[in-house]
Amino acid sequence: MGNLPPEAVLGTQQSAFELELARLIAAATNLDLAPEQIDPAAPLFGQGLGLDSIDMLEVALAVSQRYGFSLRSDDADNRTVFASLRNLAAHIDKHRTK
Amino acid sequence: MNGAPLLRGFAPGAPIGQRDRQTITWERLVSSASALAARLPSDGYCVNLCEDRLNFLLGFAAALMARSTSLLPQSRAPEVIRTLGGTYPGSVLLTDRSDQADSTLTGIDISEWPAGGETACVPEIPFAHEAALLFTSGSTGTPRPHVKTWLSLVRAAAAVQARLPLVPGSTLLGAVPAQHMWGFEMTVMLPLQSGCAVAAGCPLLPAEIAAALESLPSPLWLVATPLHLRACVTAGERLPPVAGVLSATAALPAELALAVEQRYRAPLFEIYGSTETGTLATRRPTQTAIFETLGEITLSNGSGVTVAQGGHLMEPVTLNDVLALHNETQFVFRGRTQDLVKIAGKRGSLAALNAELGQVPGVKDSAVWLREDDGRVEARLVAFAVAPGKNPHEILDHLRQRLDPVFLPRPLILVDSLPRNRAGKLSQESLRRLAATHGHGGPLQDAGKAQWQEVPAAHPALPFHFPGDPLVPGVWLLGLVENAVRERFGACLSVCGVPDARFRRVLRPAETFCITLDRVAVDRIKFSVDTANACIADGTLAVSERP
Repeated sequence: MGNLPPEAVLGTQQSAFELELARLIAAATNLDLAPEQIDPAAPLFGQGLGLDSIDMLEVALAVSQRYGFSLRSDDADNRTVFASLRNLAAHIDKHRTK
Repeated sequence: MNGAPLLRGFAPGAPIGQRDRQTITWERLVSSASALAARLPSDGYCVNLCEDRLNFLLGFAAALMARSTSLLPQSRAPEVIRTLGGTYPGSVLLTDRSDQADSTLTGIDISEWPAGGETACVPEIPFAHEAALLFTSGSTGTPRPHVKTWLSLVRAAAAVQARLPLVPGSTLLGAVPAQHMWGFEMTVMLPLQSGCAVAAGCPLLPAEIAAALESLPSPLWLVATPLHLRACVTAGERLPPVAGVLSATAALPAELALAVEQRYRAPLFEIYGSTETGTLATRRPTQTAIFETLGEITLSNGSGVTVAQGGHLMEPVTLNDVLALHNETQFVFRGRTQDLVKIAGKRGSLAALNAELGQVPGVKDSAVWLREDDGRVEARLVAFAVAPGKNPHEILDHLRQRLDPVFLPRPLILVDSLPRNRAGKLSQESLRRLAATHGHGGPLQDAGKAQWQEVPAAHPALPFHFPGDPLVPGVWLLGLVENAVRERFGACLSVCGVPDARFRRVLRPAETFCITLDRVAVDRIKFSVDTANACIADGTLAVSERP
């Protein structure tokens, strides 16, 4: 998570990058989510926010356009990337090219 | 016995499956399936939830050999499985993931294939055997079962094979689950009956589809949907050439078909069918709009509906779509019957969805509309609700408990009233307009929220413009549009011309209106000035960025 203070990473409060990503997800899925209220540790797909596989496609496309790399969800490791806003943010932070 | 073999077209030692760059021969499938069949109920039911396509194939083959019927639910939700177990007592649950176990059903994890004896004798399955039950769920209510006999499945697979340039020994990669009729026919029945292999995975995202294709031997066929294909084209992922692409579950626009054929350097075939009927017809969308029915299937129109019969259909079936018939085997797809929507291959009724919304406490009036023009990978539902004192999140929380996620409105818009006509009806156009006035009308994702404004009753320009009949001059409206552009896009973007503007109706003092902006290109913004039920003016602005 780069140079963010540890409490932003460990607590349930969103980091600045998690909020940026939450906004991207809300825009990509068109769901009436309040981006700042998405619990960064809670599941993104299935129960919880109710995001489905089409949303996952929309989010993946938006991420590839904004951050310049492709997401995958097709093995156990990749599935954990989509498990929560926090995991997704950490993964993007590590692999982004822009 | 009056029947057909489990599989045909395979040379000794030929692959039926590809997993992790490993080949699985048809002999291995038959011997493991025979060992598994001994543990399955005869004349019973097997709920096959396997996600890995080869595990699914193993479970399906074993069930056929045991004369069990495979149940293929559309959803893996625990309550769906429990209900299924209640309706079909004694069902066995075949899974390949430990988290799918259900305490009410006997579960068998088949991710480890049982070792079988030395078989290489292909079993014969009776034509009349009820091989599978598939379900149409819609959005609400009890799922309806559709029986697939072995005869109908084998006939449909043979007809599909006869239509496509698919050579034995090809490999099919499916991006749709085996439990869906389209996935079941093309990635389970078609390989079994055509001597082809199938890939184990079910990739979703463009990068996954590309990686899976790279790992598989040629000749290769991709079985997907317009949703996947649009995502692949949008993502611009590098893709290896394939021998063919099959698309179904929703109408495929011609320009997308063209883009897909260019990208994959392969013919694209669109398949028309439904869970009730299986595959009915095919076409090459880059060459023709006309679908041609398979084999012996014929269509007829009567009392406003189209009926299909013959071929693999065991009885005439009324279709849920509007087809323009050229003759009894050729037609053009016009759309679904008004009330039906299909999202992610799941069919729902707008009326049923709206009824669900109307039952949420606090909702006084509501409407559900399918928005198809916003450039997303899949059309989504937009819902409008009159619910004083409620916020959208409360209503959505309520709906989440009751609806399949694909049918959740994206977005839910709260309004003061719905633009019903005198008969109380809502037109598609009025809903489109209502969505636009709330900032959901344009193709670009940064379409902003519209702001309602009121013409001041004492605006000084008004009384003098047309004495006795005050109205808002067009130039004043354009000035407001220019202000709105500055507000939305910042001072760095300036309006440098109005290449096109139409004034459609007068705006009078004290009327409320809103301005919608849509940046359709770097140097163009489309604008629209609307009241709640009419368009006042629209057109295009030329804009330029200030350095």
